[in-house]
Amino acid sequence: MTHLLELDSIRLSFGSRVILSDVFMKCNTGKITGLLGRNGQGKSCLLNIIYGELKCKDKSIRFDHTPIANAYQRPDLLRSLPQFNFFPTFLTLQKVFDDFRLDFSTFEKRFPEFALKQDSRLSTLSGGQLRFVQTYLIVRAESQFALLDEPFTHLMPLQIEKMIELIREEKVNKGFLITDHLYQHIVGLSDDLYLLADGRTHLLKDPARIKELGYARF
Amino acid sequence: MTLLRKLSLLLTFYRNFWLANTLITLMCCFLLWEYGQSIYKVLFCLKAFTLFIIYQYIRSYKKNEFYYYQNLGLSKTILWTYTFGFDILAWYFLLSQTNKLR
Repeated sequence: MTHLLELDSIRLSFGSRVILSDVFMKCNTGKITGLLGRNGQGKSCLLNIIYGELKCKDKSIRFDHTPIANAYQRPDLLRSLPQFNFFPTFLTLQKVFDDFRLDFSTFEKRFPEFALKQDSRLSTLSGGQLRFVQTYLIVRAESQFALLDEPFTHLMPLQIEKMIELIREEKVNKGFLITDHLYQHIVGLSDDLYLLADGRTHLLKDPARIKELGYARF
Repeated sequence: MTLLRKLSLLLTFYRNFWLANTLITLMCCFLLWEYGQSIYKVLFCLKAFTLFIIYQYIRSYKKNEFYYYQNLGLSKTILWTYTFGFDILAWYFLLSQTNKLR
């Protein structure tokens, strides 16, 4: 059974500055939806609004046509990877895997660089390793949808490849909404691609429009 | 979410400030032992003030970590209500025991 996440009528402004005014997006389970946009266009704000962490006057966020304002109360529906480290670093790898109900040995087998590290505290990991673990947990943990805000930040190219492979594998189980400035990866990975510009979302049928809308030159 | 899992996550959150809270509670017990029931009001104000400081500190310096608990199904309201609720009960219980022993 496929599930649907829809958002529209979102209006966000800070003082007189309008950040989001005409946003419409649809995400399906089994698909990866990419979101591109220049800095300050409101990508992270939009993800936070979907998650319910950022309040705004007008919004309509629906899961299978049912409005849900505070999706953060429903990890079965939605989990979110913010762009910063959000794990308490005094925890061990084993503990965070237990909390997310995932098996550390499966992870260890697939990514041998983490072998025998289950009792290591997160504070002993490098920034890239920590980001990789956080992204893995959000990608793998059970839910209908996952929001990934800059999942490739701090990752080295080899780790990015592994993460892309993992997201592709996992999309049979959930829907992803991903934003990152490594747009070539996002373009390659996404089934549907949106670009956020001037407070509006533009559904890009042709990636060449990225250039037209002033996001990148290629 | 099972009760055990919820408790484990609440304990993880409480680890951020249990030491500070315990020291303040012990200090309140000591002050009650020394000065008697006449300072109950002062002790209550002291506890409320320190809880407020801890709340502000966590909200400012550990705010990113709330995403961890939210991703596991615990909202900020639940985290604060249960941990502060437990802390205030422990404070009240220890003060009443101190008063009995005095």
